[in-house]
Amino acid sequence: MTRAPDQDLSLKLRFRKLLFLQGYWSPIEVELSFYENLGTVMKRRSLTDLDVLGIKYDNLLIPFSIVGDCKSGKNVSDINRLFWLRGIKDFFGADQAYFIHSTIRSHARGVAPKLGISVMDEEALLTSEKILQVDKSPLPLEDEKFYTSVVNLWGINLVKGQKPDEKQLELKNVYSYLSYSYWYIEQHRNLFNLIEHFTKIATLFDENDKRYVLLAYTGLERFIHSLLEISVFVTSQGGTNILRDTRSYIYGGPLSLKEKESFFKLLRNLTHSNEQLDPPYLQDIIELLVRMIKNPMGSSDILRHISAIYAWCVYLGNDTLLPLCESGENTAAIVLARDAAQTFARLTGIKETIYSKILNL
Amino acid sequence: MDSVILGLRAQDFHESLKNTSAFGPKDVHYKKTLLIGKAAVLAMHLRGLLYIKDYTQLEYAAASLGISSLELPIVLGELEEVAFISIARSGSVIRRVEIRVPEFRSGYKELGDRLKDLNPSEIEIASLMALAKLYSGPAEKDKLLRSIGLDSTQLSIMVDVMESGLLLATQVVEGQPLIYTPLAVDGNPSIYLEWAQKFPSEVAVIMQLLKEHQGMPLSDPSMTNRSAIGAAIDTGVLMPVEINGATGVQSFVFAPHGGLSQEEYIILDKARAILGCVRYGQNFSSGRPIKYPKLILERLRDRKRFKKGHPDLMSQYGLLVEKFIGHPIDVGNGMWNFEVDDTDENMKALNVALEMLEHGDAPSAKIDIEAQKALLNPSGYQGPLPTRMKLSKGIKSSPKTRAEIINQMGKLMRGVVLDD
Repeated sequence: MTRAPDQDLSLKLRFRKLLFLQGYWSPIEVELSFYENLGTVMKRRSLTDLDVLGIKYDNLLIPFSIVGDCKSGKNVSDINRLFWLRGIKDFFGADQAYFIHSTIRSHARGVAPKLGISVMDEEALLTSEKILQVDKSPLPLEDEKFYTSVVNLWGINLVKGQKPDEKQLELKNVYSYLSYSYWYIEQHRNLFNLIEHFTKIATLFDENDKRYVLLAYTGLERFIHSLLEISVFVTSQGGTNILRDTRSYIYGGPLSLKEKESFFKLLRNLTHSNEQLDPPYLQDIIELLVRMIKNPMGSSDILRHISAIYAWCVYLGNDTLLPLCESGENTAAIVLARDAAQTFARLTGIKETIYSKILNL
Repeated sequence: MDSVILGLRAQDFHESLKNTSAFGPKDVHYKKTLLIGKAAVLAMHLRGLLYIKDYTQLEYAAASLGISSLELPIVLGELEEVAFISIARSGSVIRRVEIRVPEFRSGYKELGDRLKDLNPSEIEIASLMALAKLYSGPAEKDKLLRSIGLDSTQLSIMVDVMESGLLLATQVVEGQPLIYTPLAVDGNPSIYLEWAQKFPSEVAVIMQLLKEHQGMPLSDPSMTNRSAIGAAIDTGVLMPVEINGATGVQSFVFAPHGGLSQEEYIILDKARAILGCVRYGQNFSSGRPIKYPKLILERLRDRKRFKKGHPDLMSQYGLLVEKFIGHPIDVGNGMWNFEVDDTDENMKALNVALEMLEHGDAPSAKIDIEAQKALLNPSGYQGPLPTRMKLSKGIKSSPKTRAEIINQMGKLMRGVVLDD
């Protein structure tokens, strides 16, 4: 979202739509960074970027992820890209990787299976689009105009040489967190970080400003993604002790939880305060998690619903949402999307009217 | 007054008065308590659902809980106020009721806080406090009524309304009129009152202790040195659950709970047996004691059996077999598991046991299985069957209450605006 459109954009958007129609939530141009400790500050170093990321949860809350590299130019070494993509696949722990290039050379086709990568040329892409009836889906996910307008709404967009004011600096931190840090830091840390970041800028949100609406929807998507990752862990532990397993996850495992609890005990003894490890809003989060875990048919598809609501209702101005699957409307997903939007707004202090399109469904 | 207690007692008022006929003083002076009571009972039945699309289905279920279709929007409004539900509307049409009743906490605190926000009338506050006090034991009638601080008309209204719902009863013991709540009496009230008269200083302490720790082992030091406990067991005021487990026979005592129908009492009996078994494992296990009793009960409710077998399970849970709650399973090598029979009644008993463990009360004993089925059934209601016919009970009013009704009606006729 932070970069200008490029010559590969069309392929990326087409692949994103294919993933979406197969049940994936798919952020594109995900930037991978590394944070270097320079003593007093942490310096971000950009490593590479991933063209398309697809994340899906099945009805048992088992996660699946796909990484996709899209190239349209002629001067591309398919072999180099395949080896690079294999590294990206491992870095993300993705289940599947796709290399999409207008034409794929035969030696690349031979190597790809050994690297666990699927390749897709223009013909294969067209076939897949036909099978999934991409043309019948009215969502503008492959529309470059939609993409460009979203990109233009992202960031604080300063003119060269202009210094950001205090408000812009605060916003910049949040944009930076969402664009880079969110994908870099350990996933279990993201929930609290996200809430803290949005709480700091909550008063700035203006429902009539498209920039803030986009930022609010992106924050909500990441909030739900973080909750789904917790749900995956809790479910993998049997799903019977949601409170214990959620705490274990968000504090980085049982040992780390024990350390943190000991630290807070010490802090209370030393300061005679009543500071608790769990933030007061954890109870609200647990209640929402319970509803998500108990209704996996709905929770597994909330992320796609948020993307669709933004494209179809916010961007195109529609008041109702078209069903995302052939079996009809997924009411549970809509109910949980509304629930998550209201919870996120309440936890961060953002006015929930910024999610009016979700709340009106 | 503690908000949780306030929420629980408001529910008692609704449960007890729902089958009484329309009666001015009840409907005028208790409207806020009854409103929150209705909200509490509906929330309890909605818990665990994600949404309801069919509003008619909800109306049918609510009707069987004593909430008429005219009252339902107001009750839903209260639940929306405490964020237990969210209503998706198209204009004035309700498209969907989305349920967010908390599952990790009882929710009575929010309801009690809401009742406080509604500024209940003096009579309501006094009645709720009196009921809460009577849960700890009976009191001398005159002394209690004097301490409440209501004028004589208000007192009459309070007593008439509460007596009609069997929230309050009076009985003379050794020439002394004693007031008590049948909701805190398991069996014969006369025996209960005689016992309370004999041990006036111990009754409140014992009741409080049992409320805070339902299923207290009789061998616990806090129980053994009280003469009142032995007398209560001998006379049937307290009816301990006896478990013959791996380390011998142990008994567990529960706070008395009255005001239940025969079917509801069966549920409570099962819940006490279940909690007794878990308390045994907590306190008298031959191996590693149960550390988290709540998790054990949730596991039995959600998964119907224990994670793994244990040699003690056969004897420890034998009582539950006798009560048709479940059956033992031989898992080999001298190990046993226990499987709960998945019936509505057993699931309800497990929920009641969980509530007793958590906050000492057992409001789920009142869960109407028919109403809950109507809500859970995705194809909607089956017709008017869930709204079981109940005969409404007339409220007997005292001369003072009747005089107040006439006084208020007179004001109305003279064009005086009635103050809330």
